[in-house]
Amino acid sequence: MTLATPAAPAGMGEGFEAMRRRRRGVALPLALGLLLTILVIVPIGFMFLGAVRTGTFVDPGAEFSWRSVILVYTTLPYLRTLGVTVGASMLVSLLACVVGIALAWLIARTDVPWKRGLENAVIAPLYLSPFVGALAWLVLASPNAGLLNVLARDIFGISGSIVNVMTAPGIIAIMALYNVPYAYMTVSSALKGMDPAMEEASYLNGAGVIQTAMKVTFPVVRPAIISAFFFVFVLTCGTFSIPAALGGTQSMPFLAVDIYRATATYPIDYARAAAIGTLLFWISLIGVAFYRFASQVATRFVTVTARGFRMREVRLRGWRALAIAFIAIYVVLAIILPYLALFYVAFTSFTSASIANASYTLANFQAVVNSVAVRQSIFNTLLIGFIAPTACVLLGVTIAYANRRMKVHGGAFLDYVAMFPIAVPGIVFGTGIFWTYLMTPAYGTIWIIVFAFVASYVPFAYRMADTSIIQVDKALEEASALCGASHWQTARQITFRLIRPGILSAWILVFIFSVREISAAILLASPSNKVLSVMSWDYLEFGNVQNAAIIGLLQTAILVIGIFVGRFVLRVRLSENG
Amino acid sequence: MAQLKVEDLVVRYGKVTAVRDVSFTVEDGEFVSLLGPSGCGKTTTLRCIAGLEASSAGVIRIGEEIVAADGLEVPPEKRGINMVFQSYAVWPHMSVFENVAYGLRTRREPREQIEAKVGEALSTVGLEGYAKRYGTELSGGQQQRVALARAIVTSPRLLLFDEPLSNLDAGLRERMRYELVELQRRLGKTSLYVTHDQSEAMLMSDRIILMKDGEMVQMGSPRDLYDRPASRFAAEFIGNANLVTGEIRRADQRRAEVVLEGGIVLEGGFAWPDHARQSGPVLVCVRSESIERVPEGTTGVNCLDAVVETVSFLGATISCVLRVGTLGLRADLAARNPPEPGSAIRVRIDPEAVTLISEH
Amino acid sequence: MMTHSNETGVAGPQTRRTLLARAAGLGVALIALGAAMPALAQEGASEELIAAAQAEGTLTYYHTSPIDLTNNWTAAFTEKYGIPTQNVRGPSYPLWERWLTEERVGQHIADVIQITDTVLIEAADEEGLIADYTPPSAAGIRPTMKKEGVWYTVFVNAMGIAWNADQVTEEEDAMLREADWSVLTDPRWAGRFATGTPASGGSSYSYVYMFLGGERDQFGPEFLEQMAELNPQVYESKAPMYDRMAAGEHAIVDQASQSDMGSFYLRGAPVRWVFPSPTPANLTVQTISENAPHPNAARLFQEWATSPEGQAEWFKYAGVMSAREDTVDPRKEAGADWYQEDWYADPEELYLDYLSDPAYVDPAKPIIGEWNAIFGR
Repeated sequence: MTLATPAAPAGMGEGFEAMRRRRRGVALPLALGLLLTILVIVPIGFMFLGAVRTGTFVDPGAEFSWRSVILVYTTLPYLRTLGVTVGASMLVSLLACVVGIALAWLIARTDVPWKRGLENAVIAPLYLSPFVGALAWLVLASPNAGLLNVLARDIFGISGSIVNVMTAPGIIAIMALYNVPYAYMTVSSALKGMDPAMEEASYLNGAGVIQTAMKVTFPVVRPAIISAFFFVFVLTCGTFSIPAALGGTQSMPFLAVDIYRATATYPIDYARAAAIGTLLFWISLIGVAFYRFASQVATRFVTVTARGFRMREVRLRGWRALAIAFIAIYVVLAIILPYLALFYVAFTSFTSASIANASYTLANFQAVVNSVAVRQSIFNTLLIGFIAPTACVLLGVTIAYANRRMKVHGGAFLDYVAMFPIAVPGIVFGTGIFWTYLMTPAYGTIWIIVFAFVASYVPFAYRMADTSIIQVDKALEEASALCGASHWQTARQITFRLIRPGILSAWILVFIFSVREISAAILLASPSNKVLSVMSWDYLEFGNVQNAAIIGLLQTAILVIGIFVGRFVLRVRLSENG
Repeated sequence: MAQLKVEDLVVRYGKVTAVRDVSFTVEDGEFVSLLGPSGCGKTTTLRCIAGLEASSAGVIRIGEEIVAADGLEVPPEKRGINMVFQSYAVWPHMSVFENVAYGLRTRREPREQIEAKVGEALSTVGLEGYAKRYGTELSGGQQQRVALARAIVTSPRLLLFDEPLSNLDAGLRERMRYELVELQRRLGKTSLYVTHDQSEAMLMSDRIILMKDGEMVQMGSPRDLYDRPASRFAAEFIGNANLVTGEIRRADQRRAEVVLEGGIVLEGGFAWPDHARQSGPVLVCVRSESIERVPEGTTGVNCLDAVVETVSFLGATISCVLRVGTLGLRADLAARNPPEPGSAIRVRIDPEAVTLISEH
Repeated sequence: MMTHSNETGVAGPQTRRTLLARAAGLGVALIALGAAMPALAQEGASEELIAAAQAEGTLTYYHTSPIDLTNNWTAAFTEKYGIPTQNVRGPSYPLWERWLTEERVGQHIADVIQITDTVLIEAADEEGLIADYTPPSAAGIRPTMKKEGVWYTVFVNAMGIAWNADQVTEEEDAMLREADWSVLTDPRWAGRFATGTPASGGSSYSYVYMFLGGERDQFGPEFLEQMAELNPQVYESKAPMYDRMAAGEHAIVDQASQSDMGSFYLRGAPVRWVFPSPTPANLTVQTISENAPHPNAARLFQEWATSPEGQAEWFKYAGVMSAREDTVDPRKEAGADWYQEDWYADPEELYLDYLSDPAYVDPAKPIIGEWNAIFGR
């Protein structure tokens, strides 16, 4: 790093260099700070302000009031819902982590077959909007008409239901199912980055497979596990679509559902929504703090070894069948059954509980695919799916670079603010974005959605870019500087090239989120910026379920094509740098 | 303690053969090094012995027990051996004590016994007082000592070392070599040591197995390998040899006169009896330290006129590049009264120090 | 929010085949609404208005009616006048709230707004956000279904009880065909019944209003308490509720609208429905924004929507009732589709005269709170 080396050119050059350093030291963090303030702090600020008003910001009758805050923070129903939300989210996180860890270990450490295929299968639930997944499970496992229950009744003569997703355990299980990929990706990349000798040393000290896994492998990747746990926890706390689709508060009280209800049913009460949002914000902030701490420790723990030795694969022998069965069950539950259900819904004229008597039709599919509106929203989705991750990753890399390499003033502030949006439930953040851009020309255009997505996902892009930059040996950059490359040349030719895999993974992740996202987009859609996820949600709520399923499948198609291009054209591996 | 016997070991990865027909024995209490450049198969061999890698063919015996053979693969945890890793592999989530006690705890040894053994192992490696520290708080050298203590505390039948010193800085590496060797002699452990550093192997080993491209090239005491390299590769890899091709002029069963480029004649001995030839090309190996300066006019076998091209001061000796006719030779001469660059000197090479290698 | 531009071709083939020819402007009165209408000269849109609207070129329509049906409906307008529409679908209250906010800050996007709650429109009118326009064709709209110059009804939706014929016994089926409202309190439906919250939108609200407001003497909280004891699944939105009923998740639902049930019927779902008396009906109305960016297109659209042609166009897509007396569903004429079923009967006594009830127009909507308390929400 030119700036870091004290051996600067002598004489006038040194003065010039110092001057430049000073200027860059202020201008860049100021610009980034301003950008983050507009993108992140202002919308969050609107959330807090909104919580203490009786109406919207432009409502002539609205005034300052603690009413909603007091209601939400001190009355029993909300506190009880808070307890359930935190407890359920913890459970979701625990389940997702246990399954994700088991899958990561099986795939990274044992001789299970078809590893590449399995890895793709494990992260495949990412390609489905969670609420479309919830819809699929509603069709599969609602107590009376759920296809699985009907089949069980018809084939085995069971009365009642074998599975019921419209219950608290059902909602928790489905939310866990769709969060397994995050746990898997985090733990898997930690396992792959771990020095194999750690485990080999354990074997040579006489420990067996189980003992090595429990005493060495998992403890060594513990920071990654903890960071995955809190990541999933925070994400789950802010999810409204799955619990809302699976019976809402009747199945399980959930704060995010309360927020949705406050913004969608009469009386529309943005103050209450915002107040619940602030409550979730504090909870999530605690989660984010743990997540930050753990992921920082995680990067310190990761020992990247130069040796190219393949890890000795654990031979499962007799356990192999069991391991394959476990993975197969996951794949069936997370992918095969939901997609079968979606195809069933998409190609029948109405959702019949009887597969045999259903009337199959291509009409829905043709109508949706030929619809001008759908084509427009595919175009918008693709456009936003390109711009948002690109902008998001650029911002994330710039902050990470400014922080780690340029050591700009206010780096800690940037670091914190860039992580804030994780703590804000999407639907409340969407409201904040709405107020932020309402009076600007961006309102009603695709740009407001781009801003919303960039702000929502900058934590992911930033964290991944940061991790990548930390792992780049500074000596590589110093070597470039000593070869006479300018600061910018070094950054472009050395640093950014070396972190390219990490950046591309971040891009793909934000791309996935941008195509799937619903919470923030739902409040911001206009004639000219409609996207597929919003169309799908609205069809689910106000049109017909058939079209919702078809659009959900279209989204999956777009994501799969996008990932395919990333994987095989750009050679990104999502799971390694995830 | 036990003998290690490797017979016809083969390791194949798909079409690539990483280790080919490697056979050797490490006697009880012996310290043997596997030496060779990276990619020569030495680490793979070691990992097969550890059970971390599966062999494709061959038999590995530790003591009387066969640990690897066709269709048989004793898992590493059941081989009763231990290993020191290049990356130390000190578990970051455990204290030094826990790291060292790990193997004993897996065997469920009684607590007092564990404490005693760990204490002893730590004092053996000079880490008394560090028991409560965590791996990440230690320096590289200290971590390596923890790894060492962890490996010896389980009283393994065989100790394996996978380039344990290569991540240490030069000074520490030097010191650790002596300590390791001293420790090994004291404990009398059968040890197999993998390194790419020839001076490390020379210094520490009872015997060295030199490997190249997955095959054993030469096996013997450090002295044998140095004095009697059996191939160009061995001569180049070990020590700093001048290697010149020549043509045998006259020979008996042990010795020969060889004509080098420019008509220079040198007398030397064949490295090994099976290298003896009556005629034909031969590789002449002259160690730089076996070239000595003699007074002008000295005559006799292997006395030559040389021109000094460059002189580098090394302390006790100087390193010179000499030109003999058209031939360039590196020579280590006494530092006292060094020759001026460009001056002509008379040198002699002891015929006993001229090794003739016939490459087959 | 849902947004759509205009498009054609999503109507069910069956519907179109039988009905296209007869769709427009049949002057037969709806028996159920039987008020006599003075014959008025229908002027239709003036040439100047059409020219001005076409010059504006487009129209943004905020609506709450189902996505595809609405798209088909506005497509007919586009076809006639060459003015494409941008349709934005949203649930009544959030859509309205959003439009209000946009107007208040000067982001004028919507031209015509369609919702199911007239109270909100009248409040906005007082705030000066509603354009005063009386389309000539609106003279044909029933007097109870418009507020001159402010809002006009596009269609009327009656709400009854619907059931899945595969999920009830023959005895239950017979019972439901003859049902009055008290059937909803029958303990046999415990765990088999679903309903919608009145907080979700104008139609559910007016449905519940009949029980807790207008006809409180007849029903009242006791009636709803008995319903609540059946522990019904409560939906925030009715479309998924109908879907799950058609699938067989619920045997029976209330708030079953004619238009939605008809659409399930046409898709072959085993649904049947009845309209006990009095039958709550909800008006889907639309109004023009004071600051409409395309004021002439908005007026032309309002004119078309209230004309016999515009009203009849709905029949192609949904089994709604017209706000005009001179426009009637041609399938009824033909005795087609559900009109041929022996279980089907038109509503006999529509409950519609709540629009000016003080309790109904109370912006606090106290009955929502009462309902929430009864259903434990």
